[in-house]
Amino acid sequence: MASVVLIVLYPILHLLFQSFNDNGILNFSAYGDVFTDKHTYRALSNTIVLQAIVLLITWILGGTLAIIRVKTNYKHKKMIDVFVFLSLVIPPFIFATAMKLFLGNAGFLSRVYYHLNWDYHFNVYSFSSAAVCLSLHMYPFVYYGIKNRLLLIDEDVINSARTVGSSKLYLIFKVIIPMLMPAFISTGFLVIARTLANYSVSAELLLPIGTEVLTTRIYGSLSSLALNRTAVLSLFMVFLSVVVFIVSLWIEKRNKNREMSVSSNQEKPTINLGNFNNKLLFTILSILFFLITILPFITILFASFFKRWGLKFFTGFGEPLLWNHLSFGNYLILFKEGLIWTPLLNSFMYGGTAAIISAFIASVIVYLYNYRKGPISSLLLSISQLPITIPNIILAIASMIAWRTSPFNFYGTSTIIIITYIVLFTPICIKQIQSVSQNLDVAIFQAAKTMGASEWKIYFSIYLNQIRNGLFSGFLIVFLISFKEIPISLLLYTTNSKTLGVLLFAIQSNNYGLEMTSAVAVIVILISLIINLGLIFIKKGLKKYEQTTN
Amino acid sequence: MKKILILCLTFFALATLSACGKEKDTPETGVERKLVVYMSGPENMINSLESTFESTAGDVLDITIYSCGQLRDKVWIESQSGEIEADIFFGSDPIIYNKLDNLNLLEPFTLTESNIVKDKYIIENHNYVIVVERYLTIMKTTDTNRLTTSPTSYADLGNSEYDSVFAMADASLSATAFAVASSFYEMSGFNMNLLNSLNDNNVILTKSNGSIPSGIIDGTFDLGIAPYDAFVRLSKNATKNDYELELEAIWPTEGTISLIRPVAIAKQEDRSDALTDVAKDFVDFLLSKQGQTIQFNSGFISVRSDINNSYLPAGVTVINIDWDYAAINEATFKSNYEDIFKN
Repeated sequence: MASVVLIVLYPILHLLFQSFNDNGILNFSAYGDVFTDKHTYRALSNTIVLQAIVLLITWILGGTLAIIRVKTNYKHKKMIDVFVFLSLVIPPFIFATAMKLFLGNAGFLSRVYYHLNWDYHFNVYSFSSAAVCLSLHMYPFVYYGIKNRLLLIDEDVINSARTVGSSKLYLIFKVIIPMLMPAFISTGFLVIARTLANYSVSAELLLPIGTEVLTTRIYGSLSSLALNRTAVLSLFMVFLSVVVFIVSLWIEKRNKNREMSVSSNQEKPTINLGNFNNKLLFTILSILFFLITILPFITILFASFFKRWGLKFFTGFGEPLLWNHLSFGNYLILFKEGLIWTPLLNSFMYGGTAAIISAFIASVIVYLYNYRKGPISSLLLSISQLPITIPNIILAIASMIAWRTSPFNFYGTSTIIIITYIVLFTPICIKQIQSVSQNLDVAIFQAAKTMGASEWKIYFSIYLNQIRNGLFSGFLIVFLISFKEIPISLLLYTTNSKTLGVLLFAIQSNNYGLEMTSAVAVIVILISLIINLGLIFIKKGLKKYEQTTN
Repeated sequence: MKKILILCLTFFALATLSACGKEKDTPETGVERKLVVYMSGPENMINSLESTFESTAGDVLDITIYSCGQLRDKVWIESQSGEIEADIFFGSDPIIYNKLDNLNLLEPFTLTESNIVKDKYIIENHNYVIVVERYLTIMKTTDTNRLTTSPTSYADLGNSEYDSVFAMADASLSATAFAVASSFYEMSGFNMNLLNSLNDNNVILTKSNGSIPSGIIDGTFDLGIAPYDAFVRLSKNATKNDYELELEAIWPTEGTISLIRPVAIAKQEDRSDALTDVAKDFVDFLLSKQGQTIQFNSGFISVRSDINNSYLPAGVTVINIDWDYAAINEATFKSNYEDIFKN
């Protein structure tokens, strides 16, 4: 477990040391430079505004969908689950690309406007665009959090309110939503933390108009060749993230004390929509999901078949459809010329390895925390959870500085990417495993111990078996994240360790345009879907096997 | 079955980790390892340079391609947190090379064919050499539905018809963009007037210069400032793939801004003399007629006197950046730049 402490704290300590290092001289000038610079505060206020907008959109969208899914008799509930899942699979950077393709100056919509002789004025580079892209990727977090909470709400509370004559709106706003507050708060903090950490969407949609957020400011400070200032800004951001994390824990704890009575898995509809409302809701949700999931995917899929995005086509600027502008050329370049194979294999290997190791480390940490209670296990849990508060880009910078001196010289190898992924992923796995292990019966472990089973035997044979669902979902989530991870890979890759994230972010250059980014995006989405479905299939298969053998 | 699954996953993780440890492979050429090379530039050109050099020297290069800005950041972070990892780095701007040389981090060397390099490209008192030059032009779409007028000078870019459709790389992120912005500053008589007018015209800032020609073709913006070599490569690509390139390069009346691309060998304590010699051979190759021809075909201007500069039209003035001035004033300039462009 010393290795866990090492891989988490060692890079952060290096970052701290770097903040005092001014070309080999120890001083604090970088702190003064950063905190007297008005651009730091502007970036901070932009970050806060962005977080607030994203939080509002995700709460409304995710919360509403969860309430419809659990508490109404809406007929097409499966549709909600499917489309929310699809939104989670599409990385925010791809949403940003799709937005540029559809709403940009030469996007599909502007071409339609052109044909109708209407003026098209929509600036895709804006705060609202960035907020929408981030929200579309993050509302599933809120949806799943609220949905799980709704399933725990005791139906008697709602029935009592109904008995005293509460209207449907009163029921929603005065009864259900207050009971959901803990879930809104915990998912809200997740959304805030993820928005704070995001780099790719801000770089794509905010930098073009000169609007900086903290992550893009850190990247900018790197280019100024002032590593000490980069370190100070990074530590400042870590500090803010830790504050957010501690506040969320405090609120979570406070709400736990005021916990309502819960019962398990209450998927009993409370609100009867009626036939007309059901149809109306189906229409509204169909339009909504078409706009936020299907349209972005169709847009990038169509664009991926262009020889060159921007060439005139049938909805183009006055030109007829030119079929010779469309081809499978981009996919042929990616697959036949081998552009995609190495990044694909690397993402698979690094993501898979980091996910396995993270799941293992997380399981041991949670086991020690739950069943070997003591100050050391508590400290271990706290330290290993710390990286959840640290944005990817900062982890990458810290790793870059830390892992290149003897005896830990992993720099320039893919080990550095895997280690940084492990640091990033372990807290996610811990969360998943903790949620499962809370319901475990301690008596089983005590009984096993009484019967003479060794600690390892208990861990491997009993504990791992009990938490397998948490392990599996942790593995699945981190494996998926690794497929679209950009900031860490972008700073740490070398020729042999290029990942899909790097390819996606950097392929648009002199030779390739948005059409090639779209082709890579389509592949990333499809692979993520296949992996997801494959793992779900394996999970079901294992469950079936267990049932038949038992 | 569960045990088999756990065994398989463990084997997968161990196999990947052990494979990662073997990445720094050794070449079959008598030297202890491959040369680590950081390069910026078009991938096809870099691949061609690598394969041509290795056809005689053997498999000795391990090249990673970065953007100019990435290369600059990476080398600087490495230099500040230990030793520069790359044996050779090629691209970006002279400021980073000057800084590293002032810190005594660059290996001294003499070019074998130094007599064939034109005088204006010879750097004295520094341990790096200029490999090629590139020119910055205004690029615009040829689609008259999108843009009906053409600018003829940098000053025209502040005109209202180019409001919200003109792009340039962000000087706080891109090394080349920093050069452009400082040239504008120098061109305006050492003031920020031109940059202010571009900001008032809602200029779109990009992460790199390389993405500007692409963005114009994509329709993301209608015109921008970009290196001419990108235009050369895109024209060839359009011919090869049989489509009309809706892009035009305009040589501004004030002149074209010249950018130079240096190369340097980093000092490394544990590198053998034999490997340092291979590094020097590679730098010699980059400046050889063969190496320069490959780069010329990708749109770059050769520094050799025996390769004609056919890209520059007659009568166009070349504006050279005062890199020493830019380096001394980098912090102040960037601060002023941020005041204008960052919000």
